[in-house]
Amino acid sequence: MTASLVSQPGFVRARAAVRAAEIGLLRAVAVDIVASGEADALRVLGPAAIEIIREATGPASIDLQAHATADGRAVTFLGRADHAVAVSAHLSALAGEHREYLRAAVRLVGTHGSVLVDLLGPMLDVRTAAGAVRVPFGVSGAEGDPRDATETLSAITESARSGRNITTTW
Amino acid sequence: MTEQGTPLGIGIVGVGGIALSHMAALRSMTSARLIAVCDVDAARAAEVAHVERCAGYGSAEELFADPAVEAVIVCTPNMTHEQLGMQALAAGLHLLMEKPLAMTPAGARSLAAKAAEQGRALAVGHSHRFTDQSAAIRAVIDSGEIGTPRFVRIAMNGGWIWPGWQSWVLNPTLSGGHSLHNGVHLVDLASWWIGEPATSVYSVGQHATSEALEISDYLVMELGFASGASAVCEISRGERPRGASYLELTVVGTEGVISREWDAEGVMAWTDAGLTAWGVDGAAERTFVNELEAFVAASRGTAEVVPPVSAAIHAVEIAAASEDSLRTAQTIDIGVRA
Repeated sequence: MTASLVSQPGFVRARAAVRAAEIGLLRAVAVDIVASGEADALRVLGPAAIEIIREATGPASIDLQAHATADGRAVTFLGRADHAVAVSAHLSALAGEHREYLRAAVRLVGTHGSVLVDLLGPMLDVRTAAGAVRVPFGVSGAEGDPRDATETLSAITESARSGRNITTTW
Repeated sequence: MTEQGTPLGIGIVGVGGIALSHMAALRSMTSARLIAVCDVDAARAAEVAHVERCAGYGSAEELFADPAVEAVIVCTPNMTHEQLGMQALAAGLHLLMEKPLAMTPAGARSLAAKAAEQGRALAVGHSHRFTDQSAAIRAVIDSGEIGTPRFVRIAMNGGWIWPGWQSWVLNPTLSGGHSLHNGVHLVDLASWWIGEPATSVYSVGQHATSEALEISDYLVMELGFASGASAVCEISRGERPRGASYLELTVVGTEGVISREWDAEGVMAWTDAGLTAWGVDGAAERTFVNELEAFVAASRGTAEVVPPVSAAIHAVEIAAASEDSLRTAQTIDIGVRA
């Protein structure tokens, strides 16, 4: 779980597609990240999700509504960015001792096409009589400078607490 | 009126596109039989009646008065649902209403009250409940394998924008908007899988095909639930390329994840038409048979209505609130928040 999702090669390629308008103008972004381990989904998984979204949309002001379970293990938000891009994300931390991604995917919807990236790929499916395992391969893209997501994460927390829409930026 | 062991006599009101799916299902069933169809286009009704070898009428009143008709499927545009449904129930007929049940929550509740008063089955065509995949997801949830569900993501995106500016579907006054016309399917699935009604909705919509549209052909609804669970329901008729469609069903529980994605039938094809996932086994046809078999059982009194009418009313409440959210850009509460 130490690998950066933002530098995952599929996402790097998808981000380039957005910037080159290969799918037209970006209309929507959907991100799901599910991992086992620590309970605070927003604190553990939120920075990666916000970084992915920010890389896709660019800096934006967004009006969002968030929901969270009482134990903090599941957080969801839907937002409307100031350039009209619809952004949704779900973060879940499942019970378990090992910190491991179980699902991480981003979908970028454009005016002329869409890109779906399995952020856990590329992987080989290796199946034997003893069971099945997935073996990652490939080279990650260059890491960027991680930017502070504190304000956005605070806004998500406040929206989930109050049940109201909140405007924030990333 | 209904006798066990004999096929239930069915009438279909409105013989547009969705009626074809119901008629195809009826042809493969022994528990029900198509008795008659009607349409405001009497010539169209006569043509369909000839092909289906049943009676054809130019009005719903004539069909409701046919003594061999025991139950009706209403397949007409949304703005006619409440009135036709009330007429059918008043005539003592069991009713399968195509979704949405009505254009307003009050209208939906009136239909439910009329059905209860008449002692007739009232079902709503939330057909996605009857797909193989939906049933399989619910079975996994019921098994406890993923723990308690706390998030659902549903994406049903395609590019088949309804043709013609005169289409009633594109007129929010006649269709209720995309939330009511298609969104109710997703609301029903999400509430069913989470296991409780939603208590709030926040929606983001776009006019993907044209800014001139009066409805959001691309629509994302975020549902909140009293337990803290949530759902993101995304439905589009404005995707590009038009021929491609994307399906995603994800349920995240406290202990695991269920996911079904675009290529889940296992067949990917790349042709001159592009890259597509092909269905393989007649699942779409089976969906309508499953739905009608459940309706027949409910009409005979041997099973409960699926989905319960309370769920169909709830779907209308959420969808109407979703349209309010699109207009106000605010979260709309339904019931009491946790």
